[in-house]
Order: sequence, then C-alpha cells, then structure tokens
Amino acid sequence: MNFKLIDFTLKSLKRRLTKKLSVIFIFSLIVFLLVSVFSISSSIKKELEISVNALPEIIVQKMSGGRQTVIPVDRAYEIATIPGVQNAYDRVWGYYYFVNDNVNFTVVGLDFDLEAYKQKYSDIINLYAEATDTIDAPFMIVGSGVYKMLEDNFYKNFYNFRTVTGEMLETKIVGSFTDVSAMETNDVILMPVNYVRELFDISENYATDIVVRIPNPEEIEIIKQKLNSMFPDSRIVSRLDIEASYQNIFDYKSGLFLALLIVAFVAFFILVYDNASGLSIEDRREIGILKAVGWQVENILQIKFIEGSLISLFSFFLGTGTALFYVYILQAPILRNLFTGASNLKPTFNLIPVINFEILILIFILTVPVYILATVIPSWKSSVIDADEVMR
Amino acid sequence: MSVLLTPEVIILFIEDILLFGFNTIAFVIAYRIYKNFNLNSTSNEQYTLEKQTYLASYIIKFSLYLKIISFLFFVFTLDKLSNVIPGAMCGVGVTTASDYGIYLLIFKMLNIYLYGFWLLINNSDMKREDFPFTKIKFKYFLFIYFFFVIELILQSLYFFDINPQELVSCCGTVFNEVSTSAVGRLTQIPNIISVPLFYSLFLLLIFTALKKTVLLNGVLNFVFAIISITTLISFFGTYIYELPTHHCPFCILQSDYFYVGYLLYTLLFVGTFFGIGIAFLKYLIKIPLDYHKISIGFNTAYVVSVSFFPINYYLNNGVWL
Repeated sequence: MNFKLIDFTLKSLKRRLTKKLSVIFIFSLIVFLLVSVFSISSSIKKELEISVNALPEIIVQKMSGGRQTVIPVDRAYEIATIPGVQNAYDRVWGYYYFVNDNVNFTVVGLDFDLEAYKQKYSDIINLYAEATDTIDAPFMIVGSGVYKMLEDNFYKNFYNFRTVTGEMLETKIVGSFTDVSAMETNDVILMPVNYVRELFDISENYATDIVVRIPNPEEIEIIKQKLNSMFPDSRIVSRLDIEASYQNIFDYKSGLFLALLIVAFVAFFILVYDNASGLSIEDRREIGILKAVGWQVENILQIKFIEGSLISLFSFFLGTGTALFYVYILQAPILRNLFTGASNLKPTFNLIPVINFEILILIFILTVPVYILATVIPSWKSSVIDADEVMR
Repeated sequence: MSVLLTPEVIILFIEDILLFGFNTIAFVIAYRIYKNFNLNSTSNEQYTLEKQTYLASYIIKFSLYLKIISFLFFVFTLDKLSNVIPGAMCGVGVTTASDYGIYLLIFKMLNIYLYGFWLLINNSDMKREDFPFTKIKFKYFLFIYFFFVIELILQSLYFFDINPQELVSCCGTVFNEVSTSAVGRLTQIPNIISVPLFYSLFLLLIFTALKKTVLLNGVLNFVFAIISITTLISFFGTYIYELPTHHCPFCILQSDYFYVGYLLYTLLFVGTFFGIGIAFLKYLIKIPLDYHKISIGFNTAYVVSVSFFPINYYLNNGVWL
C-alpha cells in the first residue's frame, strides 16, 4: 500500500463525489440507525440496572386464586425475626385511575415521620419536611409527570381523589419530585399511609405487600426458600427474578430490530453492487487512460479497494458520530418512543451516556467489510476494460 | 437454540456466507484455469481466463484479510458467549461446549496459514513477467477451498450443537494437572523440560535461519509454535495471571490482563507463519523466498515479551512461582 495511491484515489474521489453521495448517505443512515438503537437500548439498560439495584431484595405478596390480595401486617414482624433479614416493611400502595387522561398513577402510602423503605422517598420527604410537619389535612408529593398532568387539568394546589366508597378526598399538593432520572418516580404519588388506606379501603391490619431487606446477597436464595415454606399462600419475588425478566425484554427488542435491519442490509448490498457497476463514460475513460500510460490491472484494483475502504470508513464514522450526537445530545427524539411504550404518562428520563464499544465493533464488522465485498466484482469488471476500446 | 440468536453469531454467519459465495466464484475460475490455462495460446478463452485470474486473486486476497478480522472476532465472540453458557468463564468453556469446538478452532487457524501461503505465492507470481506460478497457485487454491468448506460445516455444526442449558468446564478443569483431556495432557510436560526446550528451540531457529537451512527451519518453526502455546499455558501464563494454578490460553485475551493475548498470539503467528511459509514454498512449489528476517524478528519479539512476565514477577517479588 503506498501513500501516493491513497492520495490519487482521494483526488479522483473528489472529482466524482456527487455520484458517491447517495451511497455515502444510505450507508451512514444504516450505521446511524444501528448505532442509535443499540445506544438507546444500552442506555436504558444501564438506567434499569441502577433502579433494579435500588429495589428491595425480596417482595412477599399474598395470593388468592392466582391473584394478589392484601397481606396481614403481622407477617412483617414474623419475617423480621428470620436470621439474615435486616428489616421487613409492609407497604400500602396501589394504582389510581385518572379518568381525564386515561392513565394510572401509582399511589404510595408512607409514614412521613419514619425512614421510608426507599432512599429516594426519604430524600424527598426530608426536602418537604417543614411543610408536611405542620399540615393536618390530606396532602401529597407527586412525581414530575403527575404534577404536569394535574396542572394541565387545572389542579394547581389540590386534587380531589374519589375513594372506593365514592366520597371525595381533597388532597393538597405539597411539592413534586425534582429528579433527573425520573423513570421510576414519574407516575408516583406519595401520601400519608392513613389516607391511602382510606382511598383504597385497606384496613389497619392489612397491607399490599411486604418488602424484605437482606444485606448479604448470598443469603437471598435461602431466605426466599424459608419464606416459601413459611407462607405457602404467598408469592416470593426476588430482585434477580425481576432483573432477568427485564433483560429478556431488552434482548428481545434489540434482537427484533437487528432482524429487521438484516432485510435492509440485503437491499443495501444490492444498491452498492448496482452503484459500483454503473460506470460512467468518464470513469471508463479514466481507467482507459491509466492503462494506456502503463497501469496494471492490479494497480487499478488497488485504487478501487482504497476507494471502497475510504468511502465505507468515512460513512461509518459519519453515521456513528451523528448517532451518538442524536442519542446523547438531542436525547433521541422519536426513536426513544420505540422503547418506552405508548402510555400517556410516559416516563421522561435522560439517556445516560454509555458508549458501548462492543456494539460499535459489531456494527463496524457488519458494515465495512460487507461494503468492500460488494464492490469486488464491479471493480474487477471496470479494471479489465481494454484501453484501446475506451479511447477509440 | 438461544446461543444462535446472539448478534455476534448472526454476524459471523453473514460474513461466512458472503465469503463462501465469493470463494465459490473463485473456485470455479480456479478450476477453469487449472484445466485450460496456457500462456502461449492466443485463443479468446485464454484471454478471458487471464482477465479472470485478477478477479480470483482479488477475492482470495480479500478473503484472507476478512478471515483475519473474523478470526479475531470469533475469539472475541467465544469470550463473550462465556457469559451465556453456564460454567464457562472464558473461551475454553465455550470451545469445549461442543465436541466440534476444538476442531473448528484448529481449522480456522490452519486456514489463515493456508490463505497466507497463497498470498506469498501470488506475490512472487506477480513479480515475474511470464506468470510462472499461475497454474500452480490456482491448483493450490482448489485445495484451500476444500478446507474452507470444512471450516464452514464445522462452524455450523458447532453453533447448532451448543446447548446453553448444559454445564461446561471452565479452564481450571480443562487444564488441570489430573485432567485426562488431550489438551490437558500436552501441558503436563513438566516445566523443567518444556521451558528449556522452548528457549533452545528458539536459539536453533535463529541458527538455522542464519545458516539458511530452510527445511529444518520450517519444521522447527512448526514445533516452536506448538511448544510456545504449551509453555504459555503451563508456565508463562501463570506469571501473567500471577497465580500458579491458573493455566489458560484464553483468559489472557480478556480485559483483566489488558488484552495482552492478542499481542502475543499475533507476534507468534507472524513469526512462525513466515518461517513455515518459506519452507513450504521452497519444497512444494519451488519458489525461493527470503523472509527469514521477518520470521526471526517476530519470533524474537514473542520470546522477549513472553519472558518479560516471569522476570518482572521475580524482580518485584524476589521469588519464582
């Protein structure tokens, strides 16, 4: 490989740039789509990993006829005595259907004087502690998505919940979450536990489920088995179970996308083949002149090879660059909706910048050699043109 | 079946199917050339064939480049699949997950050597005006194509044979001293014999290269390649891992050891490739080549970098493992 050849190829490419623009455009577009989708998915994965780590180690749910029902609160005390368990909390929470916008809010009941089972909740409670300490009417702290939605419906300072018995529960909005990563708190409403009981009609002795904190991850499986034999009527969900099901969903979604792109890829291969075969009169004349001044077939193949490499490398980096810009700077408008579902109360969150080099290598190997391979036969065809035939 | 669905494996197959298509074109051309090529003829057919030699050469050359990239990618894939297959902690477990694994790996390496030799013949052919080796290089390619097809079949068998639910052994078991596996037995040659053997082979290599006894040098290079890998597993590797019980040729490819394995294997490959290549070309195809300097250079670089680890360990800790 010598530098003069590369220089020559660059100059000749410059002259014919407009003809190559369509290929460069489509090539970059494919790389752009691939990199964007994989970056979004690895970024969301990262976000999920962070929130899964904040989940409790074990959740105990009482089942009746295969459906979840309320669980007696006493069980929390029983569970707390198992060796290895740091703490067991009963949780009172549920979904409240907001008719106006056809969405479900997650209403979480908390004792505002005690430390909450989730670090995020404790932080926000401490933030509004002054306001909540003096109040004696029902009040709530809402997620940013809920806040916006209520505001759009003209509920600026309070909201009237409709309890199970049909009565109105006027609740004051004390504040809202101000979190950057709002994926898990977007649709959340925090309320004092007694009002939530009233709202969902859950009596003092029952709770929605029980969360169990276990400091040593090695003990989770054993404690899960113990709980299974202690409460045969309950379903015991560990953090690992949740993690595995998330992982499956994401592998499925990006696998599906890759499968779709393979089809696009075949089309791309044909386009490149076609584009490289259609030699214009100028191209033919150039090759003819080169051969007339003594170039070998080998040399012409070499410049064609360099040309292919330059175009594919350039398009690859162009596609990757724009994709990273689109995903992490512009926060991937439109494409991110593919991954976040179609609810009205979509979680708004920032895509955490994670550059996954493995994926970049994967896409590189999928696109660049394939492009050069597609130009092999067309380049050969043009390189064996007879000089006299063209120059005549 | 779920192993098959990982993007890496899909890409490996796409690449190989494309290569297969192009190599088949080259094969057809090579066969025609082998049958009908005659430089003295002025027929139309000869003229077409001469043009087609360029296409076939181009394809084969490109196949070599792509095979080198895809081999690295294959090793990388094996490493990555070790997260999926239970029990596997590096490429060893994944390779032994199917009986075809070790043969696939051997064939992949062998084919890179074979394609590389083809390129050496081609280079000497293109330098001469009368293309004296054209016929023989394409005859040789017919043979390579056969190996390439075997590799493809093995690869398909391998990936369809892996059962992601089945437990496999990790490198700790495969290269264990009481292990009965073939690879495990090779590494059981005690270090007191194998390490001096390694260094004396290296000295012999330099000696024969300087004396230009080509055939002996080629054979020695081949033996040197095998002994290098054995000593890397049984002796030098333990200093890279700084753990006397860790015998593994794959873990050095991981990020924990700064991917140093890729460097070591490349040096060893280039060194022995030219060493064996010179002998191969001289005695089978009768082309004299002088690449001894490259061969010695890379082999020396390999020996120096691999010796660095024990010496560095000794200087830092004052003891041998």
